[in-house]
Amino acid sequence: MKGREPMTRKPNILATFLVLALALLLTACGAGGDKVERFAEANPGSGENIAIPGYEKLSFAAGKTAQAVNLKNPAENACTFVLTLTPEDGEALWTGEALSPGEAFTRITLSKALDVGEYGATLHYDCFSLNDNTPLNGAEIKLTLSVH
Amino acid sequence: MRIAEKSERTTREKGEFLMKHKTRTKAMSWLLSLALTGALTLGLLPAISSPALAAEGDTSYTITIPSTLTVANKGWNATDGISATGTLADGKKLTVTATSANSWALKSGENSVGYKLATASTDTEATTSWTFDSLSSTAATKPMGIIVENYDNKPAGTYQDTVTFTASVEAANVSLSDFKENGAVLQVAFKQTDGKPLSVTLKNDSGTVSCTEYKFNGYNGSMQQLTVSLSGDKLTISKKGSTGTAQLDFDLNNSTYSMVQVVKEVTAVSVNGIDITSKLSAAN
Repeated sequence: MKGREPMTRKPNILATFLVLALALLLTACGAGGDKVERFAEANPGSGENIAIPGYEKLSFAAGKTAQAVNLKNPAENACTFVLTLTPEDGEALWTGEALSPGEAFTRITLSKALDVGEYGATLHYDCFSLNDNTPLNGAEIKLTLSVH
Repeated sequence: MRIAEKSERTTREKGEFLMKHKTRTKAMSWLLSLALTGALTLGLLPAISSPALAAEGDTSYTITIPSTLTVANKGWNATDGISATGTLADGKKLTVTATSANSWALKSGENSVGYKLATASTDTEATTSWTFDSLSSTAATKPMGIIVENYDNKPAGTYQDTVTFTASVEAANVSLSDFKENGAVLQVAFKQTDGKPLSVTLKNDSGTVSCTEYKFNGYNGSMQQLTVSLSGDKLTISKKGSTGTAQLDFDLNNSTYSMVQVVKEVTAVSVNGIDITSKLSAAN
């Protein structure tokens, strides 16, 4: 009996290890959703104008859906952004939750992974008033997705 | 936790010594598991939480657009315009275009009032495109307003439209005539009939052209041999040498050039860092 105990203990240890590893892996993967961080305190101006950040190119990693980005809503805006990234002649790759002034998406999760290459795309800004959420003028940024 | 309880029951049956021994063994096993899991986790997390490369390209900018187009009266209604700040890579320009959700009509139910975007109250044509040739940290602003048709006979109501401004960075459309602008830089490279290359970099300082770099056959050339002049639309580059004078005459408006004496071919011409060689042609 004593001699067999190490034999039964080893699978237990291995199972424990695998369960913990799986749990941690799933936790890490679960963090693959969008991530919003505040980079500045909101400081809304008169609301007469909207500052729209533009980019010529976004660099993505091939074969992954989680992508590091820095898509901001400037602190001086008096509106929220709803951002949508759409490749040319394709369905939306990503739509974010409403982004408040002073916040930025630092990680987004695409609906599908991309292969290596360069793709034309549009980052669409739907803008809504902070006061009553009424739609405001919007913007689109034509850009290139550079996938490595 | 369950494993710990089972361990406690087992050790009570086997005695104090065995209990201590087994507890120590279990503890070591747990430590081993945690260490292995930690090692695995440390190895995995960077691959998951740092999934992509830097997100911004060489050019980044911010455009500022009106949040709404407020109509105070028929006719001209000014806005703060469209402005842009940021950085543009060499040879690029920023273009902003506007589109209307209601085909340039403010609508209230079935009723509508036509309008157009314009740059001034006197404009007869609509303006839906603005170009920024350069950007900096100081906002560059293009005028914009709306001209609204007479709505005196329209029923009261809230008339609305949504305008979407589309920004894109494109290759700048540069021509030889852009060298006429103050601060413009022109680079010209050509070969003499003896095969020796020559290149000059010229700068336009308020209509006066100066040479900032001159290379002949791969070395810095003697400025005393070089003459450059700008008169109206005619730019002349002349270099004296032992085999004769090499002279190029450019017509800035027509993007043509004439080769005089010992010039064999023009190999490259760029304005403000943008290659325009293919846009040039030899004059008849």
